[in-house]
Formats: sequence, C-alpha cells, structure tokens
Amino acid sequence: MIIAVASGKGGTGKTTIAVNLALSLENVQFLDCDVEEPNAHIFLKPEITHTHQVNLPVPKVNEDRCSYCGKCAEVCAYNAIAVVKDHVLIFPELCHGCGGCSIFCPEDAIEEINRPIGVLEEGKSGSISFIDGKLNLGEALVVPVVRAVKKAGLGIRPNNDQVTSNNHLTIIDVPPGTSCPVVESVKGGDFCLLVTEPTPFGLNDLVLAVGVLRKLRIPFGVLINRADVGDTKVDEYCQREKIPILMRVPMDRNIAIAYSKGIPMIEVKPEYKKKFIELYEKIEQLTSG
Amino acid sequence: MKQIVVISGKGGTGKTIITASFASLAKSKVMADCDVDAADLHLLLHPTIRETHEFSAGKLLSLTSSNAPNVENVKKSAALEQ
Repeated sequence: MIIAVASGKGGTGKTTIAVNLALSLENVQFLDCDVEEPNAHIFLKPEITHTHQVNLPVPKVNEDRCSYCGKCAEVCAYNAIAVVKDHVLIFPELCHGCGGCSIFCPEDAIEEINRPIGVLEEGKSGSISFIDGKLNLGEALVVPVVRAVKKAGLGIRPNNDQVTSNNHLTIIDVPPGTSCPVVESVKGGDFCLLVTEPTPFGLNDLVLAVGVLRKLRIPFGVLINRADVGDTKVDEYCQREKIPILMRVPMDRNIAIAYSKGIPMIEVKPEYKKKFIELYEKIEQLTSG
Repeated sequence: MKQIVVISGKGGTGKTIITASFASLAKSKVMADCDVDAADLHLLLHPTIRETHEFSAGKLLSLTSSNAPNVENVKKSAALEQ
C-alpha cells in the first residue's frame, strides 16, 4: 500500500502527519518527495547509510559525425541546443533530459552524459526505512529528483506508470502546490491523504488539490489540522463534494511546542498513536472496496 | 519602481499575509501573486478582475513522416531504458 500525504497549501502539516502516521505503524517505508525543502529528516533523524547522486542525461555532440543539420535544435522544446553554422551550442541548464535530440539525430552524433542535479539519501530511522531527495541549489528541475526517490523506494519502471507494490506500507511526503512535482509524487499511489486547515487559504488550495487527484483518479480523504480554529467552510465543502474527513487534529499548544523542537507529536501525546492507527484502518477500508 | 520579493522556502510561514500587509501600507503599488499553482493573495485583497488572458508556453510535437525520428536511434534508446 502506498499512501501519499499532500495538501496544496504549504505549512498545513503534511510532514507532521506523514511522520506521525509512519511512527504509529509497523513495517513502514518513508519517502520524502519534497526535494526542494525536505524536512522529514528533522523529525525522523535517520541514520543515512547510502548517498547517491541524481543525474540528468544531457546531450554531448560528437562534432566528427555532426553535419550541423540543426535537427536537434529543431526538436528541443526548451531551446537547450542551438546550431550556428559549424558549431553546436548546448545549454545544459535548460535541458530537461528528454533525449529527443539524440533520438532524432540523423547522424547518430549525440550521446547523453550525466549532469548531477541532486542527491538521494537512504537510511533507517528505528524500524522505518527512510529515503529523501535533495535538489542541488540553483537547479530548476524537480521532477527527476522526485522520480529518483520513488524509483529507489518503489522500483518504478522506466515507462513511469507501473509501481511494483511491496507488501509493506509506503508513506510519501508530497511537496506543496499542485503542479508537476506533486503529480510525480502522488502518481501510482493507492491513496492520498490531503492535510488542510479550516481557513479560506486551506480551502482554496484544497479545492485545487482535489482537482488534481480527481484527474489522476487517485482515491483521497481529508485530514483537518488545527481543526478547532478558523471556519466551517472546509467541512461544508467536503460534505458537498462527498469527501471523507478521516481525522481532525486540534490546535494544541503541546503539539506546537513539540513541533517547534522537531519532536513528533506522538512522543508528547502518545494517545495520538491510536488515532493514527485508526486513520490507517479507515484508509485501508476505503482502498479495499 | 522598487521591487520587493517575499519568499520563504518553507510553506505556510506567512508569505501571503506579509505581502498583503505591505499592500495596505504602500501608496502606489502593483501586487503580483506568483504562487501560480496555489495562489491565495486574492483571498485577502479581493481584487476586481478586469482582464483574463490565456497563457501558453512550450511546444507540442506532432509526428509526421517528414520529421519522423531515425528508427534505429529510437530502438537503441528504448533498449537503453529497459
């Protein structure tokens, strides 16, 4: 089973919920796909045993074979190649690594070389298998690093669609927003838990996230964090849209203090462990039928 | 014109609220919400929308016989991915 924890809006408590859910269950693998701002390690303090470089394949032209026909520049959607008279200019930082230039090259003059764009870390936090990705500073391409994290954890096939599900539970900490990195993170998941807050901001971005998940046909439910502050609009929206509200976490000073010290809430509020187990059971029920 | 960028790294730290507060203080101003995949500034500023424009970027590749790829290269690339 793969559960992705997403939100749309930032700072609603995705990492907090994902981490505490993981700590409440057994035989869990944790993937932090928020590779721009990976934070789960602060709670989980994993012992990192392996570090790998994440690379992007970028073109390298063999000028002995090149006829300067310009086909590579023509097919590149990101203007990463320019052909001027008898010279080929490559802008690696614009390249998305699609490989189109080498596929379309009639002279077979383009090979692909690796450009490092991020780092993958694998380790253990207690019994939890932990993997996170870190995008290198100054890099813009997030998706390949997210893909690398998922591939390391789940063994995604090159066609990117089939996820070979293991017997144990995988929990994915998804980045905020609603665009490509989010889609890449939730794709192939059995269920998506949307963490929101009862504010106009939480609701606005929840509606956007729901739109993404419906399009991807991934079953989902909502967890309302800081549930006793704000308004009732999120509740009304979920009722109207028949979206199950699976758990509520109230605004609690002790949880906030623990958070501010990087301590998971179930350490200061052990009674929440039972609630997270119940949450998992509800998700199991929702995905079984 | 002076440009001030409000940024955080972490989500939910209060970028939008600080930006909106600047909006109520500044006299002659243009506010831009660049958080395009989850834009929220409008919830605080309640703008009247005067114009809406389509935005398009990138290219769609259409495959016709005249620009079909070198078949051998496609095979090689597919073999590499397996």
